[in-house]
Amino acid sequence: MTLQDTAAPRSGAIPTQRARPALGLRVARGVGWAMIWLGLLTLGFVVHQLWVTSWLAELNQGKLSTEVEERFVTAEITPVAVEEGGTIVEPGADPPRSAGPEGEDIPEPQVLLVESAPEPHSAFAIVRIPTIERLEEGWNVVSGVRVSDLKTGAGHMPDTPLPGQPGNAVISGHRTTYGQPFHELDMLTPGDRIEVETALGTHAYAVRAWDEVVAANPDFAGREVEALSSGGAGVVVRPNATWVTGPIEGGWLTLTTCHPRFSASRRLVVFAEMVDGPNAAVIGGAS
Amino acid sequence: MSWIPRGFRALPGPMPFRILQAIIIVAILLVVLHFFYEWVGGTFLDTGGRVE
Repeated sequence: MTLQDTAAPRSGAIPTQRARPALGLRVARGVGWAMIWLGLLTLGFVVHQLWVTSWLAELNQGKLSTEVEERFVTAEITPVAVEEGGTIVEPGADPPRSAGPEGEDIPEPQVLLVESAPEPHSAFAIVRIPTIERLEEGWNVVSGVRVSDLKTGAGHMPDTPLPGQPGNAVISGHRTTYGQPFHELDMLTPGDRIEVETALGTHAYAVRAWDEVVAANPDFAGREVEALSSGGAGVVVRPNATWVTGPIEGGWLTLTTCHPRFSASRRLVVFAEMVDGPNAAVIGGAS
Repeated sequence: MSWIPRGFRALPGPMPFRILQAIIIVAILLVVLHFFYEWVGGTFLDTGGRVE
């Protein structure tokens, strides 16, 4: 009998039903296909997370750049007189000029520049970190930290002051997806410069070590934080550590992102203190 | 994998219409997959770094 005899029925012969493969073979085949599909789905997930989300973020950044440029032109800026000791005199008022009881000059109040609040979920600032290649050119910041906000840019927590204002401005960003703006936040060391450009101008901050942050805000003492193994200035906290957004005297910027990379189990937090910018000279005493 | 050509042959209408249906079905599947990947990534991989 030849191979042809077994493979095809002879002309005129009654076709026989194809033999069903054994159960073991069928199970093995099914498991094999399931593994192939699972592998393809996983590969698709990796490609989606690393490249598709970043491509989408880049597209959104292009749109946000236009929004930020518009914001820089249209934002209302109000000068606010601040007396020594941090008392705000009156929003929009000219700094009063007066003399003391015996005719000596009272130091003129300094002027704090305040910009109008941005529209929710709109872009209003650019964050730059010269020591991180990804952020050398800057990443647009939107008002809000909803999931959809953070897909487009870094997000400013609306309940915190705007960057460049007294207090603790908090900005969050993705670590490994959506353009991964804060991918290398763990590399920042004390003294590294962070710049945030708003309608007022560029506000420069210097990264501070944890003990300096605690010295500025004693309420943070005793909080549960972990140091970074990389030796960076940031600290690692639980995802629900909302205390990091609490007020700090002076002008501060707090950046938060996921930690470790490719996991959302913890948060990496970097604190930076204002050192230069339109309001830097005033903010030391303002509150 | 034989279910893919079998499924394609089971689509109604002439060949161009079948191709159009197949493209639409694949596009819908990709969109569903995109949102599924977004959810998994946003929940377990990288939430965006906010504290809440």
